[in-house]
Amino acid sequence: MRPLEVQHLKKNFGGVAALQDVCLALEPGERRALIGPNGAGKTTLFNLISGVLAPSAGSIRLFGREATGLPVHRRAILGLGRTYQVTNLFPDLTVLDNLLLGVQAAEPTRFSMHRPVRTYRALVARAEGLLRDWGLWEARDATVRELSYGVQRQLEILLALARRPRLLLLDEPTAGLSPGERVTVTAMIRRLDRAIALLLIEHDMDVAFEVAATLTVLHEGAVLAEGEAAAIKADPRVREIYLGPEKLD
Amino acid sequence: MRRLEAAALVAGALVGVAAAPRFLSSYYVGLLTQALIYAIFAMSLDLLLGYTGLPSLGHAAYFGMAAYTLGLFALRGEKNFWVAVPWALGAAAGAGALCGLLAVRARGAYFLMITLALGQVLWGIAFRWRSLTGGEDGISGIPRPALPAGVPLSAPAGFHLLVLAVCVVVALALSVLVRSPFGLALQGVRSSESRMQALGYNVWLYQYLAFVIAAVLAGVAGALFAAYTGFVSPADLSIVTSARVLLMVLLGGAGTLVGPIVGAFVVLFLESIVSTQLERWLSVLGTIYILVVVFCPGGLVRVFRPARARRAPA
Amino acid sequence: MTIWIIQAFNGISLGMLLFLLAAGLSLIFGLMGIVNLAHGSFYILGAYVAVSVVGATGSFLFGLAAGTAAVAAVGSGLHRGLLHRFHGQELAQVLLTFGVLFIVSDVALWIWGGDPRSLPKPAFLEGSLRVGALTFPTYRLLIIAVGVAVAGALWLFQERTPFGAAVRAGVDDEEMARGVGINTPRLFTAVFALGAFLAALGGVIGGPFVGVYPGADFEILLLALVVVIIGGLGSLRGAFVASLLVGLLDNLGKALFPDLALFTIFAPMAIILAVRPRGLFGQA
Repeated sequence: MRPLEVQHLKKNFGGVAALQDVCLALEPGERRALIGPNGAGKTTLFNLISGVLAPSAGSIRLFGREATGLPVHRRAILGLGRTYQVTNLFPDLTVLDNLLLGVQAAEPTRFSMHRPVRTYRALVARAEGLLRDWGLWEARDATVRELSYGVQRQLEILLALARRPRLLLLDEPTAGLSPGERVTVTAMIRRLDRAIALLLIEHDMDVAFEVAATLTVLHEGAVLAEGEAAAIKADPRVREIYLGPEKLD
Repeated sequence: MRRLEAAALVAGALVGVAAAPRFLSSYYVGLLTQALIYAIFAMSLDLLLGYTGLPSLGHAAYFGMAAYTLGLFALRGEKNFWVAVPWALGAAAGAGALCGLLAVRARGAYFLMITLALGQVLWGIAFRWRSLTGGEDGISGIPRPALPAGVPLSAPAGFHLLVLAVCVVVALALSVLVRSPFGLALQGVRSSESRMQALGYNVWLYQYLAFVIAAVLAGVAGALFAAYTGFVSPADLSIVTSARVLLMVLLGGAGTLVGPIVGAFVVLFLESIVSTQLERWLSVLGTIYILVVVFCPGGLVRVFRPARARRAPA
Repeated sequence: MTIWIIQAFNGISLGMLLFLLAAGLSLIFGLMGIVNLAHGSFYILGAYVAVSVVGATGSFLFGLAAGTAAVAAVGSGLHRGLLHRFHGQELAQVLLTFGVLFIVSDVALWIWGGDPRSLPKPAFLEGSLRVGALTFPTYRLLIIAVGVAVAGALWLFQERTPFGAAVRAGVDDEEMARGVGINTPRLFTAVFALGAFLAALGGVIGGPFVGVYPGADFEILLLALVVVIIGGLGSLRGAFVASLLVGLLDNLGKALFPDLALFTIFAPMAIILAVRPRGLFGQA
């Protein structure tokens, strides 16, 4: 069962067609990068898939289920996870609390009012485990505000991971990072469980080619090309609109 | 301040407040009782504003609904406070459930306006429906809970202790609630609704539940207040009452639970001082609002806490 | 039948008065994101200043000019001196205006006292117009005329003038607007002052009709809020339609069910909120 199937998706804003007839499908465990110049419609596509925006036409299926009319939180319940280009964490809470929110999100105990959350050993253990596995243990009691931007971007992914998604949308995960930080985050993405399908928007070509086996190129709201990394690199249309005169290798 | 010192301070304060009828005049005991009642009221609003991020400008509606329910029971000759109380809380809950349905779907600015409008509408109804509520004259003769037989306390002292006990219970219950998974989720909703949605939380439901719980707790305060004064009037539903409790939360420090308690005491004592000297209490109220927003948006409690807790409501 | 027409007429005149307030509220919110609770204060200050000036000079026109000018100045100062410092912090701004609402209410009580004051209509507007079997007080006709004129002027202003274009630009994208050279802080203060002016205008011309008394600020604020909730924040068209609706319903309510008067505005507000939480023409 495919984690994601987008059929003939269109989105208009007033008179502007942000997306025109986009079709896209991911296989389980696939790692796909979504690239294209600014304004090509990549984040709009993410917003449509996650349910923040409603399409003007077309359909979206998540894990075989019709998801087009579903509200955002229902799609998450189906197994969709998402990170944001502009860091979207809980700034006043500690790193551990941020993760606890992600970890408890799928549990019925998230409505429990009579016991402190820290007494739920299993939840706390899972959150702490995530921190340890991904190198953020030291930061667990810091509030997000106090973290460096690079660590925040890591937490951004970790938080989405906490809910155990089966499909993860990563919106420019390395945006604004220094080269060293980029290496860390790229390594993190590559380490992600192979069972999770990834769709990643990236402007950094190196990251995109490193992480994804297949790419979809979006241009002016339509799919220009789609295929394996090598083919996309060599595609003259792609080079023309996006990669420009620069040589890639 | 460290845990042990804080605990000692709290214990001392509790003992002091409990024993107050022994060594303070009835005027000051009355002020303390009122402060405790308002502390409950303010904590209920803090749950909504400080923890869930919903700024209600009409919270007095639920305070007043409970008070009026007691009033209506008194009118029908009911002498037993405890018979009327469940109905009072039910009325507060009902009003909260209904108003919540209207207000919680709305985006920030609308929520503000809707809660204000709903509060004003209820006030207007209480004011104009003379045949039911007595209009501006209000309803008097609301009974206090009777002391159990054999308790060696004067009536005011007994009531004072009851109020203190309820305040402590509410404070403890809320402090567990805000640390619970539900409470953590509320804080998540306050911080980033979009992220919470993306994580699979039904944000509306959390906001709605918080709204209703806050309404019920406001009702607790309202019932106690009606019993304390023996009287209820449209003022208990008015925008001034909503403004006062909101100020208590802001001045004390929203999102801390301790802050609203401090705020309640500070505002009540300020009120008692100012209104005996000047008639211009509302001007002072308005001015304090401006001063708090400009100089102390995190509230008094955050001024005295180390950096860790310096977060003002968004 | 006549009764209904007279009631409708009264409702429409109340509605036009409400429009003056709702338009300002909507404009201010649409551009700056401020829910200006001090709008009630602007209304009542305009009325009280006019009361004093008319009392001293005998001229309604002087009163009108003084009331509106004074309040526009106060609004301008309030925004530039205080509110603008908190641009973008919606809750802080609302709380500040909340504070102002109480201060002005109390100061007005202190200066002008607790008894209702009278603001007499200008002599040339006494009397009424007879149409067949019906009599329409001339003054109320004026109120309707002013309301419609203001609505037209605001629409023209928004759609057809460079200033209006600047406002629309500011609403759409403030950063861009600044980027193309529009002095947004000054624009914001100007619009805020305009809103204040309209509220004061409402206060002065509403004075002879509704009365000038302590508490009028809160009452009119409630009605204006209900209008804006029903019509949608930020929409002039919504403010117009909803003002008429609320004016008619409030009048009807007071006539038919004096005890339950507020139900007649509460019910439609509740219905609209249930069906369209953003109001009839609210911004997306």
